[in-house]
Amino acid sequence: MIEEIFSIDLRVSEKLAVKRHRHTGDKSSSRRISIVSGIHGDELEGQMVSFLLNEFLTEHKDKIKGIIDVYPSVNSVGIDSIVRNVPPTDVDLNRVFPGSPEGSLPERIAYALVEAVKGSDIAIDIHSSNIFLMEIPQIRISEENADSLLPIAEKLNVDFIWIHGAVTVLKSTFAHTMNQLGTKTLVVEMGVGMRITQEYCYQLFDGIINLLVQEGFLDLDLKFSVRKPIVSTNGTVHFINAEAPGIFIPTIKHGNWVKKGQQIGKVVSPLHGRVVHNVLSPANGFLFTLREYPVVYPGSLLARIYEEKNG
Amino acid sequence: MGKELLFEFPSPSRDSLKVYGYRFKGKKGKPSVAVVAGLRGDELIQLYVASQLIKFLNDRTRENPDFVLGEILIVPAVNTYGFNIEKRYWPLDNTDISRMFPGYDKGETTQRIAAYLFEKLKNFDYGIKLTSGIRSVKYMPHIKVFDMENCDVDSARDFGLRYIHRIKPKPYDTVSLTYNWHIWGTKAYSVYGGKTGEIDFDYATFIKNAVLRFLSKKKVINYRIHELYCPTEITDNSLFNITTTEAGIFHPFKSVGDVVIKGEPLFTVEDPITGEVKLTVSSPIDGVVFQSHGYPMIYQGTSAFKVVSY
Repeated sequence: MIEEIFSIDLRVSEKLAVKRHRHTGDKSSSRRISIVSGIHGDELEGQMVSFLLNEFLTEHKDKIKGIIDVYPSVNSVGIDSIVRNVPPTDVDLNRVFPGSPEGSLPERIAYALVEAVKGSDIAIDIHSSNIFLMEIPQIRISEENADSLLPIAEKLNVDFIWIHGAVTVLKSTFAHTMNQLGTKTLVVEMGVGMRITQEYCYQLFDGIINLLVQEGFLDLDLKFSVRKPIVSTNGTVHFINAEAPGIFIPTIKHGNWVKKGQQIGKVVSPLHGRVVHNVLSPANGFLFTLREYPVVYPGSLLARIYEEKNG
Repeated sequence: MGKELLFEFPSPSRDSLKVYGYRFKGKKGKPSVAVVAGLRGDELIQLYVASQLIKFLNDRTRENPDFVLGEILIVPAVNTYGFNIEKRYWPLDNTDISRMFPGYDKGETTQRIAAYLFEKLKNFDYGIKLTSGIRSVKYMPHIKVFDMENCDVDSARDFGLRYIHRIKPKPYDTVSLTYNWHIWGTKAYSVYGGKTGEIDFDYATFIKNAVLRFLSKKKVINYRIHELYCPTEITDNSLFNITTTEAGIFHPFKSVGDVVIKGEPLFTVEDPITGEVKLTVSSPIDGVVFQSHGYPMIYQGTSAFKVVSY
């Protein structure tokens, strides 16, 4: 069933609505899982994953136990207008949670989403990086929630699980808010903004179906051999930033293991015809983030590498 | 003294980003005050106020070398790239320099810009950020102070603006300049007023004089300026939020700073296609219009006015 969880009139002859597809199965289970995407309007990987899920769940509706909700496009106007933040406010929706029913437009959308998802046992928030960075399918978990979220994350068929320290500003995110409210919420990052990386979408789709089966939301006899992800508990994530302005040209594919000193790419000056930053790996490790958008300033993130300390 | 290049930041193809400061230092050198504007490229009234402060201080110090007693550093524009192409945030990645403090000199581009700037702004006794709020909102000139340990609300009275808005910092405030000033021991104030992308010249004079009044009261400058208001301290609870239940053309009858009485019409919302009046909203309380929606069209559920209740 398609349901609206938020709707307001825009200025001229249009409504802004946030919709979900609710799949209700066997009433013997009161459990609920929510799959959310499109909090950022320029992140489209979740669109294909939502399609695959809604198609599959519609075909297998007699196998569903409890409730499975899919929210493909939270920032619905942003998705349809190629705008990351909530138009026309230019406010990042993922920095205003838990929102407010009386607040600005982004705060009201955030509030409506929290109210709709609240009470779910599990939530998955699908992001696709931004237009600047290509990410290998990964899950990001705050340290404080690692114990309860890691067993779920490992079922999702991703390549990497990044457990990171708590950052105060991230307390304004959907995931933090929902975890505080008792819904086990995972953030998936994969692919790149404004594009769909089909292989990643199929990979995550398999992972979500696996999770639904394992957690008892789907009564299906499916055997998945999901990937065993690298978990960042015993290592360090290295950030590689541009040290000079120019155009970044990668010389390696992401998702690979690299050696310390190996070239990842180069920042070049088109005007002078010279390399201004020869970008080398600072460690032996797994290249899980690689810059996609070529124009860089000093500080622009070029890559992230995970180094295992005892690996 | 005078114009200083605080830092320069290179770009792939554009001219480099150059952030200038104007320093005025007297014999005592204390107390010291930093004034920062233009962290966002649409903060035009803030840029204008800073430029008028620089002009005023240049003129006065030429006449009287002892006009400045303490130290003043004014940074009129940080996101100059934004000003030049009508962008509020950093043009490449749309990140907000104003939300990158204290910065990180080995981090992302705008974290580095914030770090280089913050390095120049540390160790001042007082910090004043001239800033804008929500883009589509027009604000009455007022001071905002974070309600934190050791905050100095009394000093905010020295601006002599009508209201001091005291608020508890939210998670996203922890990356603002004023919050981090406070953490580093600088007493920090945000000065709001007007609307982004516009210069209300009357408001600009109010705000310029408010900063001069503060500098005068703190004996940073050898100057006297008349009192304007005995300020009232307010919190979010003092602000009555009046929203619209309809969308369409926003037709206000009251402006920021107006006194309103209960029952007085505040605005109508008219159908943008048929012209029919869809909604007329009157003030539910007696008070003063603190902020107003500043765009001729409005969404359903949007805050149209905030009124400070008496």
